[in-house]
Amino acid sequence: MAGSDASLITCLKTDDPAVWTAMPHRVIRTCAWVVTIAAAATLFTPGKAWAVAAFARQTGLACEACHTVFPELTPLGRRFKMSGYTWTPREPLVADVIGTSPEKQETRLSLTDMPPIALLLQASYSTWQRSPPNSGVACPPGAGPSACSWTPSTTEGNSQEGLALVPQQASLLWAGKLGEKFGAWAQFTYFQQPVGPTTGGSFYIDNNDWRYSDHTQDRKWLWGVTLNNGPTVQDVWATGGASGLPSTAFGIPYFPIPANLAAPFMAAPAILTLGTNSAGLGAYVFYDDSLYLELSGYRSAKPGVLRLDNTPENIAWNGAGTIDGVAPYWRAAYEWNHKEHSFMVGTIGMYLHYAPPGVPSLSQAGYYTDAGLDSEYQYIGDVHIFTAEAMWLHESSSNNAAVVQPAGTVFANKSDNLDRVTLTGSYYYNRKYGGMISYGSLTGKADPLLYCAGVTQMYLPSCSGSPSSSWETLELDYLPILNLKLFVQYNWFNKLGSGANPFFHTDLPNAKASDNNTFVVALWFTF
Amino acid sequence: MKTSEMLTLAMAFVAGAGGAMAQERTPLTQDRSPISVKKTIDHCFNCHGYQGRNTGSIVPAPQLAGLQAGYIEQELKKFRDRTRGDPYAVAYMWGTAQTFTDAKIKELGAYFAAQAPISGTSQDPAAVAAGRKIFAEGVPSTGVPPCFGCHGEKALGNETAPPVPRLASQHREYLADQLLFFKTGQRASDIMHGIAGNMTDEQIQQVAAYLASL
Repeated sequence: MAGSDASLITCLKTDDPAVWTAMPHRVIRTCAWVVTIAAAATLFTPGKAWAVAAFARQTGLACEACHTVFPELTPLGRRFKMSGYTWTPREPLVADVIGTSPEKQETRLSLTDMPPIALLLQASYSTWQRSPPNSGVACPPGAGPSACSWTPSTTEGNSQEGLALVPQQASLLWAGKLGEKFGAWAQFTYFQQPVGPTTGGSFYIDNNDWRYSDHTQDRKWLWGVTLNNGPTVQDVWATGGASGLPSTAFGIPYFPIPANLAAPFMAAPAILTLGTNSAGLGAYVFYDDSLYLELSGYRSAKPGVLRLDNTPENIAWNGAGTIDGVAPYWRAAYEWNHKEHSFMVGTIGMYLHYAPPGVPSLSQAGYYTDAGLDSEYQYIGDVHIFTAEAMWLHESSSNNAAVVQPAGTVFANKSDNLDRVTLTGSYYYNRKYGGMISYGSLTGKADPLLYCAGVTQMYLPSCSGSPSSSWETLELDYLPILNLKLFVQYNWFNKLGSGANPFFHTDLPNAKASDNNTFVVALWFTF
Repeated sequence: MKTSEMLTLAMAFVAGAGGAMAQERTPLTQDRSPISVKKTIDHCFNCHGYQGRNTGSIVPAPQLAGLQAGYIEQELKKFRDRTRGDPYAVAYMWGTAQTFTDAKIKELGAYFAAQAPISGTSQDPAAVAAGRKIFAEGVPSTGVPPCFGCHGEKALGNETAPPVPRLASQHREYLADQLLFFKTGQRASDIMHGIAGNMTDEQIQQVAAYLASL
């Protein structure tokens, strides 16, 4: 099943020291980085940050026009995004027109006076119910994971109590109007997550969404084209994916080498894991201010670079897996608005010929169908705001016989499936105090080869191969000003699928799902 | 070319360039630049609806269609000058109007005044009846004058100096909010502050319902 833990298979699949030493060090480090980011993407997505002051400066509108509380969008904010980020009452600084009469005039250039730059800062302090293993333990090269074991009495609890990240993330954004009918969201992020032997973070190309959009004057028809780097990056509802809630990348504990794991390490449908690892081109219409229809196609692109490359050597370390050819993505939604109420029902999906991480060759890709239903309700009053979001995503995969046992070692089953459900509710008072509560669950067919990969000898006997997981998040927010969010967040893990619990990848005994429960205090500034 | 000639040429170039930079930049918006005003009007539609008519859903923007040109001009200038400070004006219109020239404001006023307004919407009958009474008779006990005296018998407003806005078929929520803002003084107007200050919140809701139904 598409999922981040499968990438671990590629990197640390075997205890065989010969294989371990054969892997170039660069590949291991890169793999670990990809594993961490991809794992983070399954639950906490770095760079999910859809609120920037550049839009405020361009439109002259305060945050409340387009956001309930950032990053969630209001109906007006959704229309701004669909319109390609081009709204502005400001005259262009530089313009050029051609035409023989006012009626036939065409604008050929429209450069804004204000460069659409914005910055985003996040900082956090996280603690976990059970401390990760001691970060000072070195893993001798040439040894497999089981050689990197820790004696609990000497190492458990020796690691630093919590993880402080200042900044956790700093993003530079170029977001706004680029010309008549053209606009973009281009985000470049520094994400400070200690990975591997280094203690620094990483720069990467974050969410990018470049658009052309036009409309009839009466707004009966609005249409556009989007070029973006991940399915759901272009979506305007807060039900899931890149724009979903809770929208944090916080609280990821760092597990030192050899595992370099981020927890929890859950599987996810492919559609949610391809963000910043793919390139998509699509077209959409929004009819009568209500019906949204989109069809896009995605190809794999190396993480960090929008390059379309499916060569085998890149598949091996591409933590998000590789799409063979172009995968169609669809999105349909119907939105009703009446006074303070807004209600949406929709469907989203993708069909992929796809090699998830761990499948060594594109010729061994399987067929994946992701299909989901989602819904969002918002009550946006002057004082009280209440929103609720729900998404159900179902994934079925038909795995290539070459990688299914007994011929192969990646999958136990010829076909697998996964169901992911998330429910979120939020409340805000005067856009100043509030919070959200969220429940998530993952269920699916057990596949011991897929879901027990990388689990150590201590835990392998008890590894059922089920992906079944469930978790809750409670977040309490305080916004002293509209573009600064101070919050605390609790994440509880009731159940974690085999292999999804990073403690299962160590020799620390008595690992439980709740070992990963996380408490975060954080700050999120956008300006 | 001789060195001295090159030097002369260079100096002339620098002087010319410096001179060009010193010239005042001609404002981009001309009095009757159709493409510029057309784009601004199209931008207004994003919140105020096509031709200034909207349902009041999605965003709490008032109807502009059929409003007095002079009133629209007056309010846009107040947004630009930031002398109108009710919360929605601050959040939505201060930034919007900041770069509007007088010429553009005049064009916007003329455009929306010429658009056909929407019809009234159905409102709570009891509130409408009570609001009609206040509109026609005022509230003598607290010194509230009848609204029609300035706003016209059918609440269509008029282009006096200063202009009095049309209220008929305006959004109930917008009318009630503005009366409350007049009452608290968040929106500055000596006349309306005095009037709304003598109305109860319930009376404000009632007259707003009546006007929205017209």
